[in-house]
Amino acid sequence: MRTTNGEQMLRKTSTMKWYLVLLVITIVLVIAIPPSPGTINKYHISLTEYRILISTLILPFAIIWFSAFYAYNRMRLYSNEIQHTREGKAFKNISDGIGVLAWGLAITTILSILFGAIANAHSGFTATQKVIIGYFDILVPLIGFTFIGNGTRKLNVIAKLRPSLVGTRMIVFVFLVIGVFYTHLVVTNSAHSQNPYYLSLYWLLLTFIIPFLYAWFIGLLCANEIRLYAQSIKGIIYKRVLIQLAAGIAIVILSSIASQFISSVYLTKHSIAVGSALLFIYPVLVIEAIGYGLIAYGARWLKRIEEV
Amino acid sequence: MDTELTLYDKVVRITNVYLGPAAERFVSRQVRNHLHKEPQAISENDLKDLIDWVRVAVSLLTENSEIVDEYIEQLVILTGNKKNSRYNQTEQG
Repeated sequence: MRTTNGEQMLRKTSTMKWYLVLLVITIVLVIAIPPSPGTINKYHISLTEYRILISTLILPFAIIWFSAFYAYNRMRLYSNEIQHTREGKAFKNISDGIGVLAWGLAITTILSILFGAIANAHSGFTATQKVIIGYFDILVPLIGFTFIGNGTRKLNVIAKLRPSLVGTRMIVFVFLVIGVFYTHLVVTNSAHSQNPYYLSLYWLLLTFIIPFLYAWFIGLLCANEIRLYAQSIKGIIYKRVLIQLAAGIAIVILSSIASQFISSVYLTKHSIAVGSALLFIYPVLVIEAIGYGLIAYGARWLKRIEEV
Repeated sequence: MDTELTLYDKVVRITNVYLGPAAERFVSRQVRNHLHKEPQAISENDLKDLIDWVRVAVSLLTENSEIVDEYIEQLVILTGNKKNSRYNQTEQG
């Protein structure tokens, strides 16, 4: 059965309402909880500078969360619209994956702030906090990319597509380059920077590096599969819109990988200049927001095709 | 084979070039919502009205009038009355 306009409006409202709730929680936590002395030392800043820095960071975070939740909302409305078609389940999977990434952005940040506050009060909790947040950082892309991957795989099966030899080799090459550098940097980091991951080498390899690399490989496959589908699909008008959606999904996946790479390699270091931290974070956030924007735009137009 | 296709199938086949996987759903929606018929039941007498509705709907999806005109022209051919197509009238005008 098709969902009614009222039901769709309710879903649309509730998703964006959740965005506002999560944003308000984050702002309240950031303002209410004082930073740890460790954070102040790490970035070489005063308390006032810390407050100003956090204020400048909240706005881009609010924008990227908004674009992520809006994209999820649009994808969900579109997948609901076509739920009884051949592509319905595939787009539902993709929509769920985008939802996991959107919620993951907010939940990870909120948990990080909360656990950080507990660690401030009880220094013995610092290691546990870092490990839990580290694992949560892994879980979000692992689940999100798996959902998206299930969807893109179904689309490729429907369209009877197989990745080309060159495409497959490119993915393997890119993955190897990212994987080898990532492993090298994390292992070096753990040996030389007072082990910011709080895990022994084997635990680090088994429960941190391998799951991250697995998630990224799934992510690269998804990006390739959605690109293949968009390129091969018929329909001059449909294809133009789908290419935007596919580009958005690929950009979100690649920028997620970049931000996870940066946060787990560079931002875990005990001493890092504020300027260089922002230099790494901002461009990735902007690219990720653009990706979510393209998903929202594409999903909106795909839905319109199903409505007129 | 072309001869085995119904008029509805032919319209969907043309629409597929422009709307891909959404083509069948698009055409059946136009027929049901505007002509108040079952999609497979459309006849040549319904084509003119259907083409008018399709033009309106597709114009909402793209600003590229060349694509809209090309699509409509393909549908007009199904009426067997290419000379009277709006596309030709526009070109002549």
